[in-house]
Amino acid sequence: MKIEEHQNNNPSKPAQRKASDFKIRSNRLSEFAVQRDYDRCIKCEVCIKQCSFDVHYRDEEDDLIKHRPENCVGCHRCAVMCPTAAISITPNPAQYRAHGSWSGEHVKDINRQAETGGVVLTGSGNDKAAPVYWDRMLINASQVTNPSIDPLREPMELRTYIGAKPASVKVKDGKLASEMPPQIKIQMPILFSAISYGAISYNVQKAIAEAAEELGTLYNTGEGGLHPDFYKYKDNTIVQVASGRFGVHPDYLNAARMVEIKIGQGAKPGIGGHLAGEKVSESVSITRMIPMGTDAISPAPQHDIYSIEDLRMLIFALKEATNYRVPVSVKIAAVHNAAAIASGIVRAGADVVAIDGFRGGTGAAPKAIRDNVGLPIEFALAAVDQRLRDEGIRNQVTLISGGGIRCAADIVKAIALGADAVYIGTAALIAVGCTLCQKCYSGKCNWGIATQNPYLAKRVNSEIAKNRLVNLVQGWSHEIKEMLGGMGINSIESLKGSRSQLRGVGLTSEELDILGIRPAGM
Amino acid sequence: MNKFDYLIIGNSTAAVGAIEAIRAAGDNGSIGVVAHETEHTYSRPLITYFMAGKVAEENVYYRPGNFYERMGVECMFGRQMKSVDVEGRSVLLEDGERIGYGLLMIAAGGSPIAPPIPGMDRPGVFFMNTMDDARKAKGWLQHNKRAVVIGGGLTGLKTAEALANLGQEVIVVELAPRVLAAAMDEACSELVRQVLVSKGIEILTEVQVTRIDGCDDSNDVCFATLSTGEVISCDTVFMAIGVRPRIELVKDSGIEIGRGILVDRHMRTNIPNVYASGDIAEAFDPLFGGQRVLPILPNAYIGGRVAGMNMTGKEASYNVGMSVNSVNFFGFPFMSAGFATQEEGDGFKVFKKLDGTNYRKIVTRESKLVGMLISGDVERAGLMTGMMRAGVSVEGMEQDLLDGKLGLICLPKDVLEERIHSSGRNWQ
Amino acid sequence: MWRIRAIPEVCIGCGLCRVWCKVEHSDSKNIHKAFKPNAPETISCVELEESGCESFAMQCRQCDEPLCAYGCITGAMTKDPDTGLVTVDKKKCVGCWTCILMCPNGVIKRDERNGRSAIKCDLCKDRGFPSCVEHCPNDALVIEESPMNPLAAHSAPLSGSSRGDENILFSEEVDDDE
Ligand SMILES: Cc1cc2nc3c(=O)[nH]c(=O)nc-3n(C[C@H](O)[C@H](O)[C@H](O)COP(=O)(O)OP(=O)(O)OC[C@H]3O[C@@H](n4cnc5c(N)ncnc54)[C@H](O)[C@@H]3O)c2cc1C
Ligand code: SF4
Ligand code: SF4
Repeated sequence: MKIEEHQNNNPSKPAQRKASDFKIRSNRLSEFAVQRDYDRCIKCEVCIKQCSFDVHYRDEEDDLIKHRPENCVGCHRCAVMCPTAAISITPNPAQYRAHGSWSGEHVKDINRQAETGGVVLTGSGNDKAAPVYWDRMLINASQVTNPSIDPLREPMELRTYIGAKPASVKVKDGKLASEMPPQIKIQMPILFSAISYGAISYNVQKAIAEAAEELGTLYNTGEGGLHPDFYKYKDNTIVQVASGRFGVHPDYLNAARMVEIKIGQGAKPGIGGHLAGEKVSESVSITRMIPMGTDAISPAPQHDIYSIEDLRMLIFALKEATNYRVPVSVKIAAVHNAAAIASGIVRAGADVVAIDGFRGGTGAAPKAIRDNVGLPIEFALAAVDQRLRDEGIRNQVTLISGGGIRCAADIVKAIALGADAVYIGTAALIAVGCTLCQKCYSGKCNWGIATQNPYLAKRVNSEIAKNRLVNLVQGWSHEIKEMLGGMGINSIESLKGSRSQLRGVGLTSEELDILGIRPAGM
Repeated sequence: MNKFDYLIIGNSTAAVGAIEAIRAAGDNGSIGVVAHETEHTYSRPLITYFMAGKVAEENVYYRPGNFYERMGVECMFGRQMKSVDVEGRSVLLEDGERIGYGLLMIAAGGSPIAPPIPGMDRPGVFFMNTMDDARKAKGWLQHNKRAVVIGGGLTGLKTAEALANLGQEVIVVELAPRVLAAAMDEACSELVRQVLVSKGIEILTEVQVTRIDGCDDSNDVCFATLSTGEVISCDTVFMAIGVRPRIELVKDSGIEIGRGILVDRHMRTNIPNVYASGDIAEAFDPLFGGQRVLPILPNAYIGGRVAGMNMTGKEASYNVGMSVNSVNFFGFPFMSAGFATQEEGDGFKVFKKLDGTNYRKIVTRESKLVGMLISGDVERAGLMTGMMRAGVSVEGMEQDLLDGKLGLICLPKDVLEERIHSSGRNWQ
Repeated sequence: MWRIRAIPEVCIGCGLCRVWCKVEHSDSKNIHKAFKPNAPETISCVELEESGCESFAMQCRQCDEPLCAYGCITGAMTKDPDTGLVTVDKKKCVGCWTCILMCPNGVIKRDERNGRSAIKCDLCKDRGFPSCVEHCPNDALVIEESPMNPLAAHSAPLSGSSRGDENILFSEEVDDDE
């Protein structure tokens, strides 16, 4: 490092420069260990080229590939790409002294903050072992009395309609005679949740949009606006209106099948968003309608919404703007009084309420918030559904539940708890390559997902990614049909809110009450 | 009178190019080939390898044995053309036969230049131009061991290499101040000289052989006298001071000649149904911007192919016939293309880099690459000839070219797209 | 006829194409053996072209008008009239590298492991499917079939006869044995 000319104003005191003038002192143990099996390493340098965190390098003098484990984020890109499987990335065996209260993570975070004085940022979803209630619910199946159905032989319906349903309808000559609020027919109760262009790369958003088109479902632009190239997917697009109002204009609103007002996000309830200037490339800047390279800041609240009445105004402003053609959704984070809020939202005229649980993903959030604020989606969903039923307004709204849906069984359980459909985000990104390293905020995503760096973004071939997404959703759809068949049900509609199909294991009676299910064995 | 739709004079590279093109174009017309040599078509550059025993006889042949049969060609080998009657559309052979043609292609190549040196006719004096020459020399060398090669050009030096490989003592006598003076600049010739000298070949420059004498008791070669007055003892002499197009064959026929037979970009002479290509032709060189005799094998094949296509009525243009040469001496490679010997000035810019035995030189004109010379590291050298053919600007890339750091990716977008997506059909 | 084509938009520059080409063109065809420190140097017929964020792999285009074959001084480099594949006959090649100088794409390499011979992409014909294409992690290499340009054939069989094996010129089986 170059030591700059030091101005010594006080000749009696010798000029001094110490290490901490040049670099941040780190007392942290590196999180991961990189092991390279030198018997297998062929020195092809694929790892060097693939790691954006500069872990691997060639030591010319020793003619060996070596590594700097302190830089490793555990994304496993190198290990996957290495043609000889010579690399393994493991948690660093060197750990701080074990402690029941002060975990290694606490120690590291304290050190990190002692170094920088800042907020500990992270990405992706809550990685703590907070109870996942999906895993504590079991699904029923028919035996003898109620025959199960084989979905391969008999028709099985996953079709779902998004939109408010009237309390009653008139039928004339076998046809629907009353005018319906706007409805969107989707082929399965699975939608791609809001992930903005800016947080993820163009290729990934394109893949998601194309997958939605092929599957006959919807994807959500997130709060980053709609890239001009993506207007062609308008039959499958949900556009979001968030507190930053990025990229919102009449064409944007009218290029969608649904408009979603984003109030909150499960991973970071109560706080806004921050897209670092480095991620605001030319194309992102055009899409978001902000100058290139500037930070894109979404305020914590929507500054024109301080009450349900204000929300109503925005909902109807958007309905006006879209000529009452499309449903309007309101997305909230699962928080303690979610049920009351949801009720207000329905009364404010929303057609859809989307609830995002505290295990939902994010491109960037303060770790303290991601891991400690919000509510498990299972409770929020059950509470909201129950409240809306109790108030007799459940039919007026479609409930979409998101944040931590990991598999087809989670979806079946969510629908039995009262959801009409689910949003999947992290699962979709995993299908595209995400390994949950949680460095989304850094813009250096080695898997080419959460980055705008063209060198990294090319790693997602949108054609391959689309196929993987389609495969995943189709695979899940098959599994959902199998489970429905097992319950003797031939339509997803019949499962909705059918909590009697669920039983709880290892849950307290309060938990069972909130979930509205009986314990296993009863 | 025997008559062919296509009559081809010569049986070498250009002739093969034409035959293959005619058949590839789907034309079934009759093809006749008249050739002076009796051999099946062979690779002329391999004759020195053959002499040195480096290449077996069966591998000297340029095409498989059944080539003519499969191509439906009537061979008239061992017969020589004497003259053409363009009015009567026929060719007269030395043996008096007259053969008619619909279309004629003359690809009779060049003949080695025989200097008027006294003693040229002694046993032990050889040319190195045909398989026959190589065969005869091979036999002779079995009981001799000291050879003089007259001429330090490509053929002379390849001959010297072959002789050294055979364990002969070799002396190369060159009139110019350095070897390969026509193909290389001083620095590169010097590298060639070093390679040859390191293998025991002696090189004398700025001298000539003035006479060749036998010994008292025999007519065979025994001494060569140099222009310096020095007399060197030797038992074999090779003449390799160049070849000259066999234009005497068409003298007074009405076919236009310069240094060779003049042809347009379709390889057509001034007589509409007469074509020429190969070493005998003086054809278009895009870098030179005019017609030139360029006696090298790639141009003979491509010219022959273009002629063949045009003869069948398929339009093809000869646009890539620039000078290109790749040779190696004892495994050490040298390559040149275009204006390789050019020095700075006259609108040319020259960039050079010498690093041990690795030499690189590039020549540009109006920022386009027009010449190059490489020794040693010849990796991806074709990129440069490709740039020369495509006529792309290399402004600012000169240093990368010298460092060998260049890839296709540096080409302008449109050229690059073409390279990636094309089927490699049009190399202009 | 088949040719490999690069899709630069999704090439991630990892270089795995090069690695697997080297394996395929090694004696053992085993990645560990091919790269053993004392193994003879392996050769990749794939060039990875990189500049900034752009990259693509380049291998022989199996040109319709193969300048390499036209320039080949021995007749070792030929284009098969039936398959369109441009191949080197190692027995005939003398390693003069004229083809290297002729190929505008710079995709012919020197193979000096066993004598001197040019080496180039052969579409892994012994293997059945090109290894580089198979191992590309992002589908940035594809093998595509394009119609054979009849004029492109370095040489074509005589008309009137069927295009059976008998008529393949310059293929290994047909040799000048008469
Ligand atoms: C030793 C040596 C090494 C060479 N090395 C290289 C090299 O490394 N690279 C390179 O590019 N080039 C090289 N060349 C040059 C290359 O061989 C020629 O450019 C090429 O062979 C020219 O082909 P052509 O068809 O024009 O005629 P030629 O090969 O000259 O053949 C002429 C044909 O015409 C026939 N013929 C001649 N006179 C008559 C007549 N009166 N009637 C009928 N038929 C006649 C001959 O029998 C012969 O078949 C080398 C040449 C020699 C001699
Ligand atoms: S090696 Fe080069 S010139 Fe020959 S066919 Fe392939 S790309 Fe074309
Ligand atoms: S190196 Fe081999 S294939 Fe290439 S031109 Fe020379 S002989 Fe032909």
